[in-house]
Amino acid sequence: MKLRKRRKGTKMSQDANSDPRLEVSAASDQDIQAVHASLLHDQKEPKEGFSLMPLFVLGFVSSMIFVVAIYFIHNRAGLSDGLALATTIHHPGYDPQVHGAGDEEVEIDVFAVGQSLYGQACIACHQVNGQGIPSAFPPLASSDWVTGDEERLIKLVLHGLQGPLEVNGAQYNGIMPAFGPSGIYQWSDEKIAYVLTYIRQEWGNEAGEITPDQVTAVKEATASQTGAYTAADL
Amino acid sequence: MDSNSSNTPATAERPDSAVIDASIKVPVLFFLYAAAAWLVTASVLGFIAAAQLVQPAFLADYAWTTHGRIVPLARNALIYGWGFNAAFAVLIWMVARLCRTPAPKWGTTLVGGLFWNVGIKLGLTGIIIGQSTGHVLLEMPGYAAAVMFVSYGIIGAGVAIIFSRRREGSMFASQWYGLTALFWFPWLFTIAQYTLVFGSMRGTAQAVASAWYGHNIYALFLGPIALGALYYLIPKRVGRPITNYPLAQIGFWSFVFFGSFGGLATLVGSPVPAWVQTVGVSSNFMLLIPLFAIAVNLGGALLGGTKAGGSGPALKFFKLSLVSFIIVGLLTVVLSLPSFSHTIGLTFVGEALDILHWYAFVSFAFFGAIYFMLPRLIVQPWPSGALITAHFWATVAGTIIVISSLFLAGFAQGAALNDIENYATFADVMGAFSGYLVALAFGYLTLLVGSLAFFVNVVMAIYQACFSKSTASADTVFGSPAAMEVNS
Ligand code: HEC
Repeated sequence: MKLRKRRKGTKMSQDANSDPRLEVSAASDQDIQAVHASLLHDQKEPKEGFSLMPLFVLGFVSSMIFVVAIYFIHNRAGLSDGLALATTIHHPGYDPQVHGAGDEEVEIDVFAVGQSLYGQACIACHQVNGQGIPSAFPPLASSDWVTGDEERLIKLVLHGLQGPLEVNGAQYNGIMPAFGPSGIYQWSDEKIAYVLTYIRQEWGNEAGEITPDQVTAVKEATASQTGAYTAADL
Repeated sequence: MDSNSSNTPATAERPDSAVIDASIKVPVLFFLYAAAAWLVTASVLGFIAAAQLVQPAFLADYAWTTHGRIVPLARNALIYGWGFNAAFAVLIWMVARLCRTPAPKWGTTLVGGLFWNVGIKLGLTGIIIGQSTGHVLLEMPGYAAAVMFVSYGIIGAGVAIIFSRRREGSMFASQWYGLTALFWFPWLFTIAQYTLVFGSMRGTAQAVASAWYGHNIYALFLGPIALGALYYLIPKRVGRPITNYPLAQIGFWSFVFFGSFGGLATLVGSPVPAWVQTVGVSSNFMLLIPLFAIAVNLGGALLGGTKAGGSGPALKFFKLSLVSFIIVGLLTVVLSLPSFSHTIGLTFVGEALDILHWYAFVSFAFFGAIYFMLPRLIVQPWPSGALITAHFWATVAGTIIVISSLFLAGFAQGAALNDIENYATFADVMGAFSGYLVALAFGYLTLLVGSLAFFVNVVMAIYQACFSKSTASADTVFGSPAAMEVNS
C-alpha cells in the first residue's frame, strides 16, 4: 500500500469541527474499504516492523491451546470420580471391579457420602450449617437428639417425627418426613446409617458412627410402627 | 464527497452516501425512536427492580409489579426493545453504507419493525399477566415469540437484499460481523424456542440450552453488531486504518467459534455434567485470542487520537465500549475459574458481568454509532448539545455506579454465604451487602436520567427532520472527509 498523505479536509468549517452535535468523519467509506482491502492483499509482501506479529500470534494461539487442553483433561467430567461417587450413592459399597473379582472389602468414605446425602435431602430444612430455621426446623448441631441415644435417632429418621418438640431449649412443632420404607424417600439402611454418622460428626458434634447393621436391627424391631413418632413416644 | 479525487474510476458510478442515507432514513429513524423509548422503559423498570431490593414492599401490592415480574420485564425491554431496535438501525445503516447500495424500498422493513415492537409489547403483556415461560430471556409466551420471529425475518430479508445488490466488491470486517449476527439470531431463537418453550426438553438439558441461548444473544447477535460498528466507525472517525488488519480475520473466526460456547461457563457449580462446564470455561479462555486481536486492532487505531478533531460523544463512547469489552473478557475468564466461581456463583457478580456486556460494551457502541449516524440521516446537527452532555455523563456515571455496586454486593454476598461462623442466617447474609443495594438503586436512577435525555434528543431530532426543512446538503453540513492515511 502506498501511503496517501493529503491535506485535511479544508472545506470543513471551524464550527463543524468543534460542535459536539455533529460528528465529523475523517475518512470516506470508499477510502476505508480501499485501504483495508489493500492491507489484506499486501500482507504477503515483506514489510519492516510487521514480521514479529505473526510469530507472536502463532505463539500466543498455540500456548492458549496448550493451556486449555491441559485444563480440559484435568477437568473433563471428573468421569472416574463422578461415576464412583454415583455408584456408591445408589449401591453403597458396590464396585464392579472388586465385586466381580473377589470378596475384598470395599473402603468408602462414610463421612463424604453422608455429607452428599445430607445435601440431597436434609439440607432443605436443617440448612447447611445444621442450625435449622428458628421456630420452624430444629437445629442438628449440638442437639441431644442427634448425639444422644442412637436407637431413638434411628427410629425418628426411619419413621419421621411430628408434634411438639423441644431442642436446646426452643419449642418446635413441625413434621419431619420418614426416610425408611414407610416414607416417600425409601432410603436404604446404608444411606440412613451414612447420613446419621455424618450429622453426628459435623458442626462440632462428636458422637460415634452408626452402622447399617444397627439401622437394620432397629428397622426390624419397629416394623409394626405406622405413621410418624411424636417426641412423647420416644 | 471526494470521489473524484479517488484513484479508482468505478467509484464515480457508485451512489453518494447521502443518497444511501436518504433511502433508509424512514425505517432507521423508526428503529432509533423505538430503541430510545424502550431504553427509557427498561430504565424505569430497572430502577423499580433495584428499589425493591432495598425496600421489598415498594410496589409489591399488585401481582404484576412484584419483583419476580419486574425483573424479566426490565431485562426483556432492555435486550429486545433497546438492544435489538438499536442493532437493527445500526446494522441496516452500516450494511447499506459499506455495500454502497441504497435500499430498494423501505416500506417492508418499516412494517417488520412495527411488528417486531408489537411482538415485544405482546410478550411483555404476557409476562405481566403471569404467562412467563420462566426461561431467562425467553420469558415471553410463545405467541409473542412467533410474531417477533416473523418480523425479524422481514427485517433481516431487507438487509440481505441490500447485501445481495452490493456495489462494492471488497468485504470489510464490519460486514463479516454484521452478517454473521444477521444469520445467527434466527437459528439461536428457533433452537431455543423449539427446545425450551414449544418442545419438551427437560431436566439438565434445559439448563444447558437456556445458558447457551442467554449468552449467545450477546455473543452472537448484539456483540458482533457492536463490534462491527466499532470496526467501521473508529477508522472512519479517526481517519486511521485498523492497526493489523490480517489479525482481524483470526479475531473474527475465533470470536464466532468460541463465543458460542462461552455461555456454558455460567453453569459452573450447578448440577450439569462437569465436561459441559469445562467446555464453557475453556471457550472463555480461548476467547482471549479474539480479545487480543480486537484490542490491538481497534485500540491501536484509537490511540493516536483523531485526525478530524471535533468534540462529539461518539469517540468517547467508542473508547469506553472497547475498554469495557476488554475488561469483561478478562473478568469472564478469571471469574469462571472454579476457584472463584464457587464463591461468586449465583451472586450479584453474574449480573454485574451482564451489565458490563450489555450496557458498557454493547450499548455504548450503539450510542456512539447513533450519535454518528443520526445527524447524517436528518442532514442536521443534533438538536441539543446540553442533552448530549447530560446523556453521556449520566450514562457513564450510572453504569459505573451500577456495575461497581453489583460487584461489591456480589463479593460480600459470596463471602457471607460461605462463612457460616459469622453469617448464620439468611438475614445476616442480606445484612452483609444491603448497603450496596442502595447505591445500586441510585445508579439505576442516574441511568434513567441519562436515558430520558437521550430519548428527548432523539424525539426532537426526528421532529426537526419531519417539520423543519433544511436546505443544506450533506457536504455543507459535515464538510468533506480527508483521505485516510496509512500509518507508517
Ligand atoms: C421437610 C423438612 C425436613 C427434612 C427434609 C428433614 N427434616 Fe429433620 N426435622 C424436621 C422437623 C420439622 C423436625 C421437628 C419435628 C417436630 O417438631 O416434631 C425435625 C427433626 C429432626 C431431628 C430431631 C430434632 C433435632 O433437631 O435434633 C433430627 C435428628 C432430624 N430431624 C434429622 C434429619 C435428617 C438426618 C434428615 C435427612 C435425612 C432430616 N432431618 C430431614 C424437618 C425435616
